[in-house]
Amino acid sequence: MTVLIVGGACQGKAHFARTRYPELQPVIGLQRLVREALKAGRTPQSLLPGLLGRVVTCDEIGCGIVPEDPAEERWREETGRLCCALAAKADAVYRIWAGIPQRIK
Amino acid sequence: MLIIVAGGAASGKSEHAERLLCQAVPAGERLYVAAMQPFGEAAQKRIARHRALRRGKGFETAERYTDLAHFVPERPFRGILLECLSNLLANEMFSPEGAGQAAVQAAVKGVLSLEERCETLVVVTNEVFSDGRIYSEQTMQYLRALAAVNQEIAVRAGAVYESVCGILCRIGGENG
Repeated sequence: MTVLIVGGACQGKAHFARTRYPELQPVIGLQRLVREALKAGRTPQSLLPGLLGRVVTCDEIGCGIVPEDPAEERWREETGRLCCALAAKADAVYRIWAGIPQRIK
Repeated sequence: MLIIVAGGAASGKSEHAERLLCQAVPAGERLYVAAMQPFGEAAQKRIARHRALRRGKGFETAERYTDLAHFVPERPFRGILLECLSNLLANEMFSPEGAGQAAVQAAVKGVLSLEERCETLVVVTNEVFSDGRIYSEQTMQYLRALAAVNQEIAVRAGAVYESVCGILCRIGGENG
């Protein structure tokens, strides 16, 4: 089973992941892994197979003005695309706000 | 029928917008109105990506960056996809040929004019309001203006959606 939990920073995503899906190994903060992958020159989509069978949390970082720094824009773009790809494969997707989970898939 | 598809960066909104229009009207009846000006590498990449996404889906393309109220397609189309409202508004506000102070009204009028010209209008707009940052006064003005345009057209929409990680979430519209 694969689960994706998205939402703004500090909304209780990790807590929800651990309490609702204790049987799954958590990956907390996918946006950081995307940043690290880009820094190391790897394509973030290569992270996808390793996320299957896990409960993954990711900050929603795409809901602002396009960053002026191209590297920041790329990070935002790649995080969004990876979330789309993971959500397509996930059994459940939640969006969480103030600790309240809304199941969207 | 006006349909709005909002979403953050790389949230899959274009793909949903295309699909919704393709469901509503047959091939040969689909016009894509592109509002993004091809300036800079990032814009060109984005345009190329959108073109690839649309390929083979039976869209004709018209580029129109401002003054949609006076835009007349070469022939009538039953369905129009406008991509995207955030670019259109930026052009109206900041381009020399834009409406300047009257940008909000120009953008709203433009959308309403497109809606009158077809059966189904799908409008893509950006969720750019939720990163908590305080920008320069010019950018804050833009955020307020885009929010105003979104609100003016959202009340008229038959359906309003937000694309989240490629998942289409209904957030409003006449029928729920």
